[in-house]
Amino acid sequence: MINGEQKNSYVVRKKVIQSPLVSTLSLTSVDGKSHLYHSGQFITVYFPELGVPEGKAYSMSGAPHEGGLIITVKAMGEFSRRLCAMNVGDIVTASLPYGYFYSESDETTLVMIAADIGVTPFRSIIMDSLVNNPQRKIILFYSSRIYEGLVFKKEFDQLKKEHANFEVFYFVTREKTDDPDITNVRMDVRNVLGTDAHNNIEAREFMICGSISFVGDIWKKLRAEGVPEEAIYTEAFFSH
Amino acid sequence: MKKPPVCDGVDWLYGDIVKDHFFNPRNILLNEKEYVADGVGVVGSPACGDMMAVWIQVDRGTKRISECKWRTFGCASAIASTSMMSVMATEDGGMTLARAKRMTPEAIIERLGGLPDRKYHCSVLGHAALREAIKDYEESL
Amino acid sequence: MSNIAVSANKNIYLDYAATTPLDSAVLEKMIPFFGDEYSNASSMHASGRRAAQAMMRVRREVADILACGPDEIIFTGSGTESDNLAIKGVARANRDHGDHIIVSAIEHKAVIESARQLEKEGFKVSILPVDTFGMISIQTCLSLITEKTILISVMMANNEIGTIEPIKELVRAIGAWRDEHRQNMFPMVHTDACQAAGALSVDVRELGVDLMTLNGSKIYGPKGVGLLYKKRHIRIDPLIVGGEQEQSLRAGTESLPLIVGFGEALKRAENSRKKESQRLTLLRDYFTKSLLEKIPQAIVNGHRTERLPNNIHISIPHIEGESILLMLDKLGIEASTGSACSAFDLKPSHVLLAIGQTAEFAHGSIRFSLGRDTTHDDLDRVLSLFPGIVSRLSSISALTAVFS
Repeated sequence: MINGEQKNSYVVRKKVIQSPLVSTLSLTSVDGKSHLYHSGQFITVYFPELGVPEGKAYSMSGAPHEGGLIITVKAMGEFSRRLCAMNVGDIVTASLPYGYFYSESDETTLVMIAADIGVTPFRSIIMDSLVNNPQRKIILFYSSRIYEGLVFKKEFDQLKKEHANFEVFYFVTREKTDDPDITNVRMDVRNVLGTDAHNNIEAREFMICGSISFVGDIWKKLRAEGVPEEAIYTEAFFSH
Repeated sequence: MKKPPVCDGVDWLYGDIVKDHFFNPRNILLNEKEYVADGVGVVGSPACGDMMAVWIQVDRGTKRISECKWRTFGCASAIASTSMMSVMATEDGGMTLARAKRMTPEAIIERLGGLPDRKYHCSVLGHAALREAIKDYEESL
Repeated sequence: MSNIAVSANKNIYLDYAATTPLDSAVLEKMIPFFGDEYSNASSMHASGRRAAQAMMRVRREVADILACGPDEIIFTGSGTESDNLAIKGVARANRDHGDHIIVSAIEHKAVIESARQLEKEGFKVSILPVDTFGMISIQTCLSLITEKTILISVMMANNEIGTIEPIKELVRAIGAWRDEHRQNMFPMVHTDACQAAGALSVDVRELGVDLMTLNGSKIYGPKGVGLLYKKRHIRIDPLIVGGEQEQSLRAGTESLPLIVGFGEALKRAENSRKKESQRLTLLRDYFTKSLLEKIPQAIVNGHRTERLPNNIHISIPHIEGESILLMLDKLGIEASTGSACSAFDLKPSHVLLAIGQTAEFAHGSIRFSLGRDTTHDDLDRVLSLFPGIVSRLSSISALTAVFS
């Protein structure tokens, strides 16, 4: 059985409430085993008491070197509300780490494009990259409807200061803010590609994470600008 | 006696390409017992209503996928997604493994001419089944 | 694989439980009210009075069929609206007595969602489970009743799996409970009879129910009209307020054509009920038996005998409902499914979950519901084509693959 389908018991070791709707849970395996994973992967959480056999996937927001399996959840549906209501010591059933949402190259410039809670796998990828591949240029384009929706902003701002190879650009689409770092418009693919849009495409890889429509929309627009299919990785958050 | 309704081309749920791959699926493997595969991947489960099995053959010389056969339990989107994935993996001489790994649900959906959002996971599973088959092959080397 | 043949023949509609075609004789009766008789039944002038009279006529005819008073009938816009009115309207109006409601696990979503809404208002809801055939247990129901229970809702017959519930016996048992506990009125019993009309008697005196929902779209009447029978003296809070129509219990200018159409449809359904039920039962049993012979791995859902005359519901392992439907559709055969993949919310049918259907089978469920135009030949055609669909999808399925 593949990792994504094995069921394991985890205990909540730590809980951090990031905002009224968003919580970060640190999980460790009840049997004490540690499970290796790639930044960008996810676990599928199950709540059999809800009467449905399917689980929902949550990307690790923590990098492997941070220990355990750290997920950041926004309370939007039955599963996520239950997760956000959990406390230290609670047990949850979930799969082993799984997924293909990670770059297979070490050298390309990595361009990450996220909407709302879609930023979670990117935090893991960013933390991992800054520690294990400090030469690699990594850029995050992060869009949210409201300013508060920019999860991890303080952390990213700090990392930007400390690391010359990490850039982050924020877009807030439904609110006006005074923060000079924020662009109060919808993210445009031209922002993402930059002024040298059609040069250097080969040296870049793009990763998109967010809702199905966000990912699909950005994918189409990147393709329309000539970005080859092989250079784009996608992960859409959906309810199944 | 009822007359068959006039169809104005605006259809039910699915576009023409999806329906084509559902009614005329490509690359189904019927004789799995005799088939010699280089890699096999199985994803999904009956409980979830979607399950896909993919068998690939890889050309040793070119490292390209020469055959990509499959079986799917699921709705029309699931069947069409696996069928289209198998076509994409083997057309034009077949994808290299590196290229095949870069296949995305978005690419499958684009080739299908679009799928309703609630069927997105069918394409995710199609891509995952191929990845598992490739992984199985690479681990056996 | 070979190509799928496209149907050159007529369409075979086997989804009467979803809705029925409008009977042309019913349409005839409706047309004047779309045409010259357009007035508002609340108007004081002559044409308005004529409209009011036409309404009174329909109301009396319907009351005769239901064996109730004309003042005990409230016309609404749908069966769903009637269910909403029955559950929410009665609960809210009788809150001073209690705040507990019981609904069966296989009720129509209109009843279940109404109960869920009431939960948000602080009411307590108990779900009455059903057995593997979809049947409630009266004993279990009695065990759920408390001094605070105000309403119990159990449908007369289930729209998906066809099971007919023991409403008369339930009402009797509730009556006995009321006597024992010296209760005058509570708990009351509501039944959704939308699927039952035309097949079973909807005589409320015989049934003994306090409230009953009916609608037009299942009895060859128009869509957009429903009815709630409410025993005199039961307090109910209207959902839709404004004018004084329907004794101020359901405001809004009455749709004469729809109400007249509903009355005519109900009359016809009642007149042909015994004969049509017999005819359909024979067809149903023939179809079911033949299906099981040709597809031995299939299982029947719902009660075998206490079942709507027109309902066939089966589950087939290893294949999925939406894909079955699409293949049938291509051949001109129209049916429905309870599979999760076919639903907008991707949830499997709550009815199949309630009868304990396993996942393997729940995804491969198909409902065929017969009706007035269904002939023996139609069923034979389906029987000649369906096994081919099953074997084609089974050969495509990953669940029939053998892995070394």
